[in-house]
Amino acid sequence: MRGVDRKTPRRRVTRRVSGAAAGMLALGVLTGCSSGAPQPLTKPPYTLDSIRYGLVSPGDLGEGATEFKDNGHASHVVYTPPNSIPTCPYVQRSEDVEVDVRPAVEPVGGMPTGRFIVGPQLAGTSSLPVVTQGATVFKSSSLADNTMDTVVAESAKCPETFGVLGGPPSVVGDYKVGSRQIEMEGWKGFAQHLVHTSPPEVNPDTYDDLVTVVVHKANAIIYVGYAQIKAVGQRADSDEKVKALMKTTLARLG
Amino acid sequence: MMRGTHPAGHRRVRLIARLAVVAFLVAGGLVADLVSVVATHPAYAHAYLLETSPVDGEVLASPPAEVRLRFNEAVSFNQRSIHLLDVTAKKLAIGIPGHVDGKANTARVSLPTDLAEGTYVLAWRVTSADSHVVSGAFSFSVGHPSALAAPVEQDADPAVPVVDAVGRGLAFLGVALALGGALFVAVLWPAGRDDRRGRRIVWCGFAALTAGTVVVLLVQGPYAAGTSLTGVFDPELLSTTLSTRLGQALLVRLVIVLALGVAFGVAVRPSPPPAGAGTARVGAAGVSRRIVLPAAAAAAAVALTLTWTLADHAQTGVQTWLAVPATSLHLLAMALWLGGLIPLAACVLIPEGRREPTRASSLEPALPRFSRLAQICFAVIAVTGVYLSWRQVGTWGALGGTDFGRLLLGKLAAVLAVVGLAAGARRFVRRHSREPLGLDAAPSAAVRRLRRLRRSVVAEVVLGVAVVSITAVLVDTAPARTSYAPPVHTKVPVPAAANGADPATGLRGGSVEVKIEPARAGSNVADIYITGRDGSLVAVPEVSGELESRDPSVPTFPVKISAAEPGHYVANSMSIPYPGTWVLRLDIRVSDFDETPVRVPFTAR
Repeated sequence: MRGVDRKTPRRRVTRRVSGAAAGMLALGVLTGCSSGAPQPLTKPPYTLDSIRYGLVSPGDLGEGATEFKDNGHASHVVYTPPNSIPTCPYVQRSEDVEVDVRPAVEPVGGMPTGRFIVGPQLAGTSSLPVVTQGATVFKSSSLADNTMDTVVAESAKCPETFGVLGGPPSVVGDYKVGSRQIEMEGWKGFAQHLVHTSPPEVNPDTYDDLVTVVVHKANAIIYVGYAQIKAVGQRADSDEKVKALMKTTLARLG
Repeated sequence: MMRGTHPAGHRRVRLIARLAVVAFLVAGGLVADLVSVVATHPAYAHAYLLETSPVDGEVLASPPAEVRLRFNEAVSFNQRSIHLLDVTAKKLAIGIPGHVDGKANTARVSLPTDLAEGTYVLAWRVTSADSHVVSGAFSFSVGHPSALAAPVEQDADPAVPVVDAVGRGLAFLGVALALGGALFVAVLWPAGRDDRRGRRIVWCGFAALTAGTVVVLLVQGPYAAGTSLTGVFDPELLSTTLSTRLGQALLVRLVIVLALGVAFGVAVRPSPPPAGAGTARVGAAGVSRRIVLPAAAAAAAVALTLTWTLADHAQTGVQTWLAVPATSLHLLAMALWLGGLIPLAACVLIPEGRREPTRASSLEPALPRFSRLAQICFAVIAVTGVYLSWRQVGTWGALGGTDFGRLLLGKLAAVLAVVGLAAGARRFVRRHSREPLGLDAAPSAAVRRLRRLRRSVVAEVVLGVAVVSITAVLVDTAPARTSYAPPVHTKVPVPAAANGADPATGLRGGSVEVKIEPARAGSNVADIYITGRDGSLVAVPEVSGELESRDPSVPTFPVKISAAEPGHYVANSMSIPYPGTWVLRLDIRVSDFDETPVRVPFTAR
C-alpha cells in the first residue's frame, strides 16, 4: 500500500504534464487552423448571380441603409456608364488635366451586374456612407486579367491633383488622388483615395472623403466606391472602413 | 529528516545551476550581438540590394550600356537570373549576367543599344549565401517614362519549394536514422548488430538521407532560376548549383554518407571467432573496430552536420561563430534522440510487448542506456534551441508576426509534448531499474506499464517526425529577425522654427505623426499627419521630404510627398534603398516665408 501511495501522485503529475503538453499542441494546431472568417457562400468561377454575394448589402452597412440600382440617374453629376469600372472619377470635369485619362473603363467581353448604390434612405440626415458598386464576370480568368491590366494602367495615369472650376457646386474644387495596392481574401487590386475640398468661399467646413476599390480574382472584377463627408480637421477614414467592409463581403465569395 | 530534505534541495540546486547556464549563454549572446552591431554594419540573413546603376526610377537620355546591381553580401546567379522587360512585360534579349571583376557581391549585365524610348523593368533573382533565393525589380526609363501595363511576376513554380521542403525533410529524417539509429543498433543495444530489423531501419535512414540530399541538389537549380520542375536535370542549372556553397556542401554530404555507410557496415558485420593462428591479426582488427572506427564515425557525424550548418541560416546573420556550432549540436542531438527512438520502439519495445508477461524482460541495457542519452540530447536541444530561437527571431513581436515565428511556436508546442511524454518514459525506466519486468509481483501490472510505455514512445516518434517536418519548412523560411518589419508609427513634436520664431499658430504645441508601411527595403508608403494641440489636422501650404542615412557617405534621397485630406500628406512610393536606420526629414512650410524642419528617425528591416 505504501508503494501505491507513493506512486499515485507521481502518476498524476505525469498525466498532468502530458495533458498540458498535449493541450498546448492542440492549442497551437487550433490557433493555426481556425479563423474568424465567415464560411464562403460560393467559389470561383463566379457567375452573375454568385458574384452578388461579394457586393455590399444594406445589412452590411448598418441600420437605416437602403439599396437601389443605378440606371444612370444617380451618377448624372459625373456621368460614367453604369456598366463601367472606375479608374479616375471626376477627372472628366477637370479643365486643367493634361494627360489623356479615361474616368472609367468599359470592359469588353464581360457580363456586368450593373451599378448598385447602398446608402442612407435620406441623404444628409445620416452618418452612413454612400457605397457605389458593381462587378463584371468574364468567361475566363485570362479575359478578366487583361481587363484588370487595362484598368490598372488607366488608373495609374490619374493625376495626383486636379481641379474642377465649373459645374454643380458639389463638384467644384480641388481633388487630391492617391493609390495603394491592396490584397484581401485573395482578391488583388488597388484602393484609390480621392479627397475633394471645395473652395473656401463655397464650403470651408467639410470635404469629401472618397475611396474607390477595384479588385480582381479568377474571372471577376469588383469595384466599390465608398463616400463620406468629413469635417475639416478630421482624419479621412474611408480607406480603413471600406477595407473592413470588403473583408467581410469578399469572404462570402470564397 | 535530513535524508528526506536533502535530495529535494539537491535537485533545486541542480535546476538553478541549469537555468544559470541557459541565462549565461543567452546573456552572453545578447552582449556579443550588441557589440557586433555597434562595431559593424548590421548583418541580415538574406542578401539585399544596396544600389543599382541606373537607379530605380531614373530617366536616361540614352539607353545604358549595362546594368549593375550591388548587394550587401556575395550572391550567386545564372544567365536566367536577370531579365529586362518592356512595358508589356515582354522579355527582351540581354547579355549574359556575370560578376563585376573581383566583386562577388556585384552583378552586371549588358543591355541592347537599340532600346526604344519608354520605361523598362529589370527583374532579378539571386541566391544568398544562406542558399535562400531573393528577388526584386526596379525600373528605369529611356527618353521619357511610360505607364507599365503589367506587374512583374517573379514567383517560381509553386511545386518547386514544396519538393525542396520534402527533400530537406527526407534528409533530416534520414540523418536521424543514420546517426541515431546506427548508434543505437551498433553501440547502445548489444543485440542490435544481429537484429535484421534494426539494421534495415538504419539502412533506410542512409537511403532517405541520400535521396533527400539528391532531391535538394536537383531542385536548387530551378528554385534559384525561378523555373519549373522540368529544369531539375538541366545541366546548366546543375552546374550553377554545384558552383555554390550549398551545392558543394550537398556533394560533400553524399561522400560522408557513403563513408558512414561503409563504417556502419563494418560495425555490424559479425566478428570472426577468436582463433589461435590469427590472434594477432584479430587483435589488431579488434582495436581498429573498437577505437579507430568509432572515432572516425564520430568525426564523420560532426562533419555531416556541418554540411547543413555551413550552408544555411547559421552561417549568415549575427554571431556565426557561435551559431554554427550551436546549430550543429542541435541537429546532432535531434538526430541521436529521434534516430535512436525509432529502432528502440520498433525493435525492442514492440516485440517485448508481444512476449509472455511472465518472461524476463530484455529491455536491459538498451532502454536505460538510451534513456540517459536522450536526457543529454534534450538538454543540448533545449539550450541550443533557446539560443537559436533568440538569434533567428530577435523580438517577441516577430514570434507571432512572421511565418517563421508561427512555425517556431508550432515546433515548440510539439517539442513540449515530446518532453512531457519523455518525462513519463524516464520515470518508467527509473522504476524499471528498481523493479524489473517479469520479476514484478503482478505480471499484469507490468504488462500494462509496458503497453503504456510503448504507446508513449510511439507518440514520441510521431511527434518527432512532426518536429522534423516543421523544421524542414522552417529552414526554407526567411528568419523572423530579417522578415519581421513592424510598421513604423511615431509621433514627434513640431519644433520651434530654426530662426527662433514660434511655429504657426495652428501648429503651436502640435505634433507630426508618421506611419511608414511596410518599413522595409523597397517601396514604402508614408502617411504624415500634422496635428494641432487639440489633435485636429492642420493644413499647411506644403510638405517636402528627404530620406537621410546615418552614414555620411550615403547621399540623401528625395521623397515625393503629395497632399491628401487637409493636414494629411502622403508619400506613396518612398523608396528605402536598404535595411537600417534612416531619418525622414520633413520640411513643413507653414507660411510663404517660414519653414519648420522635422526629423523622424526610424528603422527599416
